[in-house]
Amino acid sequence: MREVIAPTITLVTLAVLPFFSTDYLTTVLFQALLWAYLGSSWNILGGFTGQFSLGHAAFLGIGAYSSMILLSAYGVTPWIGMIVGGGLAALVGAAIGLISMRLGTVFFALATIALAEMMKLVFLYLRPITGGPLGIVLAGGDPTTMVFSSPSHYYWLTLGLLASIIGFSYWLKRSKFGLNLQAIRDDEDAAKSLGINPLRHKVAASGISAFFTAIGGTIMAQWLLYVRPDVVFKIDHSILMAVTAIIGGPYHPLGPLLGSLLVVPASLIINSLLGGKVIGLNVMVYGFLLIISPVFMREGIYPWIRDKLVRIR
Amino acid sequence: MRLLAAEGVSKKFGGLQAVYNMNIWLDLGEVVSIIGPNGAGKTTLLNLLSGYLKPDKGVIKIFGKDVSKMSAERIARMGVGRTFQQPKVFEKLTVYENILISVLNLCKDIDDPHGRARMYTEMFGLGNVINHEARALSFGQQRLLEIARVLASDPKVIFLDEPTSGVHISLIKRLEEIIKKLKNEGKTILIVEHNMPFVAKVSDRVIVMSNGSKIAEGTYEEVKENAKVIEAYLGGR
Ligand SMILES: Nc1ncnc2c1ncn2[C@@H]1O[C@H](COP(=O)(O)OP(=O)(O)OP(=O)(O)O)[C@@H](O)[C@H]1O
Ligand SMILES: [Mg+2]
Repeated sequence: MREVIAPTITLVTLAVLPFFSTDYLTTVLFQALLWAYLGSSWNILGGFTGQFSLGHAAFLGIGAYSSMILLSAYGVTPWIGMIVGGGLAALVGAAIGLISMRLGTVFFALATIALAEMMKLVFLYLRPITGGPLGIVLAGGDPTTMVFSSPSHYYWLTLGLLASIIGFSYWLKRSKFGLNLQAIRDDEDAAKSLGINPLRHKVAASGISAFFTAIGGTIMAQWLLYVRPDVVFKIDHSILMAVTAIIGGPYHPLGPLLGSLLVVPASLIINSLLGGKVIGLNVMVYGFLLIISPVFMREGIYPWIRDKLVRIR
Repeated sequence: MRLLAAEGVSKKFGGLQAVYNMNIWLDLGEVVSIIGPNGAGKTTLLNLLSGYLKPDKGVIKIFGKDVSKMSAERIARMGVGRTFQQPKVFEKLTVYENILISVLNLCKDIDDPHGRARMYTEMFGLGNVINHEARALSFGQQRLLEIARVLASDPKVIFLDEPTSGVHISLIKRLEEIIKKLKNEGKTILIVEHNMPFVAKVSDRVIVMSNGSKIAEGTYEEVKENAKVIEAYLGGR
């Protein structure tokens, strides 16, 4: 019972925030929530299963493109398109896992980077379907095609997704499947001694993680109202997903949200201060955070804050 | 009834012959111990029998089935449980979850997995740390947790690699009782151990290994007097 207090308070607070905020601030918070959602998706594989992907932008892009293509070419609403994109990403996620995970975690990380780069090229060259380097632009739309007039609507939609994945993560922490993933992360040999098939579980986790990530890609595309290879298949995105989870706390369902609330506004502020003049600054900042944060807080901010709160009480 | 039979099993690591032409069998309800000097190949043999290593030569049959090429997780699902010389616990899971996960994966049609997990936690004196993360435990406690974890899954055949090392004397007594009880329940147990008084108390049969091969076999009293055994222990490798 005590476990539900922290997430409930957090989510209720987040739900009422737009009523007290400007459109600009809501936009900033929307982005923080979107990255919290994406970080949570990444974390199913990274935090729970201990398999570090540095190419989750591949799944983000598959999601963004799937729903965009379905909408612009076939008139299928993104409400359905995002599920299709999720399914496709899940297949790709499972396939890359199946091919590379048996060769170890380092090889898997490299393979995911390569996957995202390959995807970028594929989507550049498949011009008749993807629009090539210029991508696909939406003329407009309404809520039936997941286009909203106010940033607060995007915000609440994303908050809903975030609540679902946090709920899923809590379930995962306790369920047999999730316990098996964590067991594989902690000691693969011992997991085998309990009859757990490591590869099968890791491949499943990769597929599930990719599915959720792709849905975030649809949200991003519907927010931007366009999609382009260089915008979605970006290593910045892959790294930011990992960073939110690792900084916030990969071993707790609320970790990625915490990390994102910290990192995303900070990086927006830094960028606006420098007027976007320094190209690649995001990657530098994320990379820096990724390197130094484990030095100070080995398991992210979450356990640190929890210990502080416990002491106060 | 013969539950396990391995014949002519050999394993080389590079140029090192870790296990050579080993024959070993286990009958239902037997407690067998493997002893021998450091580096004799005892752990390697356990790894071969449980599917963590594949033999270069030889056949291993468990429940009449050839498992020589079977994966470790499939052998585990046949009802063969094991512990490791260096305890391998799930460090970020709680003590309770460490045991529960074993019940959930291996006990078929169980009504109350949580009750069973709790029972095995208590049985090994881990009740007071039940909600601690496993990495917070001492070495000895991790060893006990690992034994509790394997027993909770109700395996038919159990391999234990040095179960008493690092464990307090009062809990070693407890372990002796538990092994005798398991034996009475019809479990078959293979133990690798350096603790001779423990071996003497629990074993029906003792196998002595040296340089990868079996050099003696019999009751504890028999092998104790064996000249080859004395030489292996005194002379080293
Ligand atoms: N994975 C491995 N790679 C290379 N050599 C190994 C490996 N595992 C074991 N060996 C070597 O095989 C030999 C037998 O080792 P093993 O661990 O089976 O001995 P042991 O009888 O269990 O010894 P101890 O009583 O010290 O645990 C040793 O010389 C060891 O160094
Ligand atoms: Mg050994």
